[in-house]
Amino acid sequence: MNNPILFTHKALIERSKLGDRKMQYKLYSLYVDAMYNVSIRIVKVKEDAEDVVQDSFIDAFKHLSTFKYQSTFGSWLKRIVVNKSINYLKVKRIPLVAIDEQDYWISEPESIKEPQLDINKIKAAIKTLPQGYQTIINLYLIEGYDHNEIGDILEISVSTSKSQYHRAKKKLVELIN
Amino acid sequence: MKDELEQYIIENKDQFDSYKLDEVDKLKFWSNISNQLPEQPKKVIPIWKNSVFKIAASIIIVLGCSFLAIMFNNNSYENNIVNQELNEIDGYYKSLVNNQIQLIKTSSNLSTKDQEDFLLLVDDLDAEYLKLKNELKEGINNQRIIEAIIANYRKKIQLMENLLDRSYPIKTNFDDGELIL
Repeated sequence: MNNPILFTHKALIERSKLGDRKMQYKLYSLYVDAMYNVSIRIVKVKEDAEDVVQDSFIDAFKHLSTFKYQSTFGSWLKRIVVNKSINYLKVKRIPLVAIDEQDYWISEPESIKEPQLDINKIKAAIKTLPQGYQTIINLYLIEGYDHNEIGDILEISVSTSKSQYHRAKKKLVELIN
Repeated sequence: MKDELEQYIIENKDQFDSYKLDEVDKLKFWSNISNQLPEQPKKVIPIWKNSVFKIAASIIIVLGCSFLAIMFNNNSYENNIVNQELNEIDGYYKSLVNNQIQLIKTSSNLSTKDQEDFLLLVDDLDAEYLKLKNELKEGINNQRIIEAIIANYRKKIQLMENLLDRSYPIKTNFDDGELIL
């Protein structure tokens, strides 16, 4: 329970809670680039990501007193950014999950030969996936959320999250090959 | 169980952070953010009020002394000119000092420590200032005393400018490696 990682930047956070603008600026400087990347991976549009990041920091600092070190500050802040980014997609009516909604289980594509692993190729392939697939690959692999959390974020069931993810990964493997 | 592709992406997820914001944009965003945040707690304000009162009081003393000096020396044409000059100079520096104080008051990036350090220095300068005013009353070597008063004002202004320069923007020298998401 006393995981020291949870208390990363504790002094900065505590002084920011008291409204110390200088400390808030330091926290902002530490996390702004990472948060911008999290947002742009979801919303894709530079200006939208900029809006999301500013909104998220405003919300985070306004509600900092509710942060009780149950997670790291970074993951708490990231969840705000992810939720706001997903809301942006909703407002723009971009489908959060890919269209074929049948909820059947697709087994792991064991038979497909693993492609040669090259990060740039993978990044390019992810960008050509349908938006819904990109979102779920992002949330699961890059942001590191589990299917329960993704279910909460996207307001879908855990099984939908799993099946969407498996389809997305299958499609990704096809694209890389 | 995660397969090789999944493992590979997870291990290389840092490479997906390919965007970097401009320093200028970061500052611009920060000013938008800080404008939306509630004002800082006001606990430092009484100190500032004190300091404003101190400077205002010093200025009143300057004016009072000048007035007295005029009263006592009104038959001396030369002294009149000196006092008139002093009044003008005093007015000019008074407005500069007040302007700087305004800037410091509206700057939201000053720590209590900076403010306390600043107050200590201002106190020293105020004491020196009062001493000079007393000497001026005696009417000996006015020219040099006025020069010293001006130097005193300049020091105050310099001090405030340094404080404001230091207050913003703040450079962070945190290690990026510390960042944990």
